[in-house]
Amino acid sequence: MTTPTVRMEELDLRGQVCPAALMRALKKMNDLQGELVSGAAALRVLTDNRDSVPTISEAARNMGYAVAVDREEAHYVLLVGSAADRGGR
Amino acid sequence: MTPLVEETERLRRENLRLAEERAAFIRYIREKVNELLVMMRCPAMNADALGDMELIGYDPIGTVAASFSQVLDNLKETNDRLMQEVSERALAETALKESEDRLRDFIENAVEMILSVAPDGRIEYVNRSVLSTLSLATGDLIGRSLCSVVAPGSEKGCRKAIRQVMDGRKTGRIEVEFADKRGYRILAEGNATGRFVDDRCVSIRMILQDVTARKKYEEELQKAEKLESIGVLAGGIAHDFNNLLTGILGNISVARVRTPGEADVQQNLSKAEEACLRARDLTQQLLIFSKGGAPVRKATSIAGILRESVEFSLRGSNVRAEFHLQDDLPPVDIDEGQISQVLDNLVINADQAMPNGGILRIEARATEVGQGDTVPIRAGRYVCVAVSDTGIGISKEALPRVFDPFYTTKEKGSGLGLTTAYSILRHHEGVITVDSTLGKGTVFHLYLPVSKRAVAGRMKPAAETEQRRVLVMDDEPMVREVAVEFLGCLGYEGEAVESGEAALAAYRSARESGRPYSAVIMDLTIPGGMGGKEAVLRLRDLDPGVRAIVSSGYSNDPVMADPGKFGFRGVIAKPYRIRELGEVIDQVLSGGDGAVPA
Repeated sequence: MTTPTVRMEELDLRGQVCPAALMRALKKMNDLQGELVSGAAALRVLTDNRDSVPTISEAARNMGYAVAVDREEAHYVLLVGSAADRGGR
Repeated sequence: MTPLVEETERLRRENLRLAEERAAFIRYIREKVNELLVMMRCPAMNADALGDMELIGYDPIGTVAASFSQVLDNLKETNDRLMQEVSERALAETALKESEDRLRDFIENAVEMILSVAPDGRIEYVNRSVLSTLSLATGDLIGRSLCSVVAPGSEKGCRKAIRQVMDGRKTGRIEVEFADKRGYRILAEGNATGRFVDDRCVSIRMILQDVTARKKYEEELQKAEKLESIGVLAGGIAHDFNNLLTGILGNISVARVRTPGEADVQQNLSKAEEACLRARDLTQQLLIFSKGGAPVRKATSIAGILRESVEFSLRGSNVRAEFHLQDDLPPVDIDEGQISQVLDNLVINADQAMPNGGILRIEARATEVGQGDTVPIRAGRYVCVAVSDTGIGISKEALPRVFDPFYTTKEKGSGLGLTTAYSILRHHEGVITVDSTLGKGTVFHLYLPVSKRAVAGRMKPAAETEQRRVLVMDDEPMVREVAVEFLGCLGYEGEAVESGEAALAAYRSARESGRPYSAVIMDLTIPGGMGGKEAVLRLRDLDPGVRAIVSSGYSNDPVMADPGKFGFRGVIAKPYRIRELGEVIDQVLSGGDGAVPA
């Protein structure tokens, strides 16, 4: 049995605050739309701005993606990927 | 102002105008981007957080518009998915409703009585069958305790059964006796099981069948079987006893013929004969009650017999008879003598039950008996005769035993009256049933099958006796002797043989010698030899016009009930008197059917 490999993209927004951080995240999700929807790629967003976490997560979910948030030592990691396995996109 | 200064001033103003225009343009972009962000439920930007140049660098309208387009796509897909879910749910709901309707239809229209009872004993649900069986409405049952709708006396058993099912101690057969709207007892039998949630009984389901009719039928059947076996025993004894009586009675008859003028002897013989006849009547009762009492049935109008029997039996009584007879009663297939005997018994009993007088009500009507009826007889058309008195009634304990042989509550009763009545009705393919309330009265119902034939006219009187030869075949020497003596007294020349073979030989040789027999009287069965049943067929081969009479004391055989079918012209039951023998021979010789029934 082979596990399909998912290409991991990373967007480092550390040191940036909203709305610039949101703009960049939106742009990245637009650029990767095809791959994110099909599940070929996933996006790791790193941010140290606490306010950006719900803003970016909410926007990604409205666009139909699944979002998981992890907290590292000095920043947050938002993992954005296909929501196909959850019945959505 | 020098031209340079003027130019510089113009450029400065132009620059200011352009800066304002640019600011307005960026403000416009910021407003539109914010509107889109708000629509995407993202926080709006403020100018402090993101400088104009930086904002433009992010291509905000392009970025937000592309994201917004993704949001719309997602919404559309979500919407499509929801629509599909809604339609799937609607389909599932339709299927569920159909399934529920089907199950409800099954339960509501089941022949079985289906109930659900809460753990506190209250009825939660009943199907239509429960309502129709008990003639009650939903409101009479739902919410009421099951134990309050059972028949009086059954409450304790009902409570116990419910408790056992709830405790999980008992699942399976249950008997519940309900009381219907009129108070009649309805016996229901079936299964009761508990529905348990977390080891706690939340309800009791009951699936019951109304077995009232079946139980009653089984009781009647049991009674019939019991009487049948006693009948076989009684019949066996009566048969032998009857043969002995034939000998005694016959010899008395002959002695009377031989001692004319001797008054003392005649008186003694007459008393002996009377005693013999009483013994014969008792034997006949036993025979009738046993299988031996096969009736000789004819299509008869019952109305006349009812009036005759009742009026005769009530002569001198202070009991008054009231007749309620349907005008156009169909004829019934009965043995008139036997049915009269039944009626006599019933009327005499009723008369004795009303020592201070009263009313005896006689009803008769045509009725249809169906498959599920409690009366244990074949489905078909019957005439139902009801004989009701307003007498002392029969106790609950005595009621199931009134048809038992030798059971009597009277000091001088034989205990055979109702037994014989029961047996006679059974042999008529009918039945007699009884209902009684102590102190109020008793009612007997007689069911007699309606005849398919019309009522026959009375037989013509016998022709004149001629000097003719008669052959008698019987294995019993005493019977042979008596018969020959009787024949002599009647003016016939009698000869006797002891078997079918001897009868054939005698008949043949008599024909050959030119002195043929005018009639042959044959015993139905000859132990170890050819009986009358076979001999008559051989005789018919020899002489198709043979006038054969069958004689037996044991009239169980179908030959006795329908002799013509087996080649006989007449029938006579043993023991017989001279007069009876004379009648049957006269009838056979005059060409009619001779029948002297038992």
